[in-house]
Amino acid sequence: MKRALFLLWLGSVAAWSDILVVVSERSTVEKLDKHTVQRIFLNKTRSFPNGEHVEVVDGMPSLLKEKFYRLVTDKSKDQLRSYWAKQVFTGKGKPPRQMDSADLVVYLSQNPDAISFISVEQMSDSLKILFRLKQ
Amino acid sequence: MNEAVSSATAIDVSLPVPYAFPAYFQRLLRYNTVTMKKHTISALLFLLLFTIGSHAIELEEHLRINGFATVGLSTIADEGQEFQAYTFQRDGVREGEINYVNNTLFGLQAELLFTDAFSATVQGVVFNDYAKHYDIDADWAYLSYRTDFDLTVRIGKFRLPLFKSSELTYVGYARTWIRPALPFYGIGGFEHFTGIEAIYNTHLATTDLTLQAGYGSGDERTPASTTGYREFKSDNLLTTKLTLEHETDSFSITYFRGDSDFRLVDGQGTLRQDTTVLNQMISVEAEVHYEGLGVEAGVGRGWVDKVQPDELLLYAGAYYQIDRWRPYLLYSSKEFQHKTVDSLRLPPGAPPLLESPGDVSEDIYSIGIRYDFMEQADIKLQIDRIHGMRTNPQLLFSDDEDDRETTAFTIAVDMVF
Repeated sequence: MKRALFLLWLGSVAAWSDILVVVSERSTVEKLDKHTVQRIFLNKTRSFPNGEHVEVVDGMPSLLKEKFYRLVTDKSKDQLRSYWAKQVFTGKGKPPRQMDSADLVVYLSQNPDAISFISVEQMSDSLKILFRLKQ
Repeated sequence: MNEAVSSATAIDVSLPVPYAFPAYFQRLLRYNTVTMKKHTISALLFLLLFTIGSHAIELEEHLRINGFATVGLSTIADEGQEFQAYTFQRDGVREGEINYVNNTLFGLQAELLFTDAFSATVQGVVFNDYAKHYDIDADWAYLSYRTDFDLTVRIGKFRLPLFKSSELTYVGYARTWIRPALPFYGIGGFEHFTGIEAIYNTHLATTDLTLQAGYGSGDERTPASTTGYREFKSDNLLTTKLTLEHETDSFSITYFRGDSDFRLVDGQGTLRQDTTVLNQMISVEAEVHYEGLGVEAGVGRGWVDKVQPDELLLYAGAYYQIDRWRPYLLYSSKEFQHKTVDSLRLPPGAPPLLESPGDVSEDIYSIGIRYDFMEQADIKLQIDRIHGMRTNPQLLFSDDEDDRETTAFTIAVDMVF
């Protein structure tokens, strides 16, 4: 019971803290604005503003992910699925690959092209913050 | 059955081409037309898709499979007519009958990635076309190369992007309503083209711009009377589309044109018309959101010189998102404005054509609700009040009335994976 309450508390803390858009510390990109983040995560561009290739990696389905997309794209979970269905079946794009949070941080650290979003608690020295979404 | 179809020899030039089912169902990559045990097959396929789950299948790192499906039940309230879910179907649901064949379809897409930027994609759909037959069609088939400067170049077979739903006709999950907002999108029977297409994404401040341009050929044959046909062939179809998106709102304008060789052959095999025509269509669409309210509207104007009445398409719909529920209203209209027989070009010695019965139109008022009951699956309930003139797109008349109304009830489940 205590463990369940603790996990619930942890989840609520993660849900209400800022969401960080991050890349590897080795990336040459220093910061992004909200519109560029939206374009990158909705597959409207495949490069950073400096012209370097970008690879979007999503976390697994979670409250954090739902909030991130709601804040950045203004789309609900269902609207986002509908958006990706349109993209996939007209051949104009496909949703980002998904990774669980442990693998995600390692992958981001090792791949300067990769970009994703994490909670403040997941931040590590090997990552760089490009944009902070305040809730 | 529609009178224009059942009268074997008469060819009425005012009967617009799109009212007949598209010719691609009779040709490209057409495998065996199989009359299946429809209830069993439909149920098994749908169960299979649900079993697969809601995510795309990656068989290997470089092969990705996606799919979509719709299963629906329909009935109508009045005698003397049949309601079709899609215009290419030759029969529909009747009063007192609950029919799920007309609304049921399945699609699969396979994408093979050669590199991160270079891929091959094939997308096929299995559906009921007419006379309770299922058919398989390759709806899309192309090679695609996407550059890092947001230009994608594709070569192959594509659906025309005249309206949003014309590219997504069969993907029910991608729209709010049960059926596409307009019953037909092509002009002169063209729904696909084979050639090259370029898509470029950029932005101006916080407005996203997408420019989509295609060039290629098309070949569509549609029935005229029971055994005759109309045929459009073109080697220079051109389509250009500009889409502007700001936050969740969007606006698009599309222009399509093609010089086509047109042939009209009657039920006895006699060539009744053989001429070159210009097919053109311009369409505008907009989508606006405010809080949970969404409004979508589109209008299209089509011309096929000399052989078909001018075409006017219109739809407007609104919905309100409440959690996973989405109640909606939709109005759609399609009108063919009459051209006189005198303005049509006939080959020397051809027998006289029938007089046109006049303008043709269809209006549909719909009310419905969508509920996303699980990840990547929804259920929709829709009631349509349909007013159709004879030879309208979706209401077939089995009596001698020229002007009929009916109410259709449909419940459908859509899913994608």
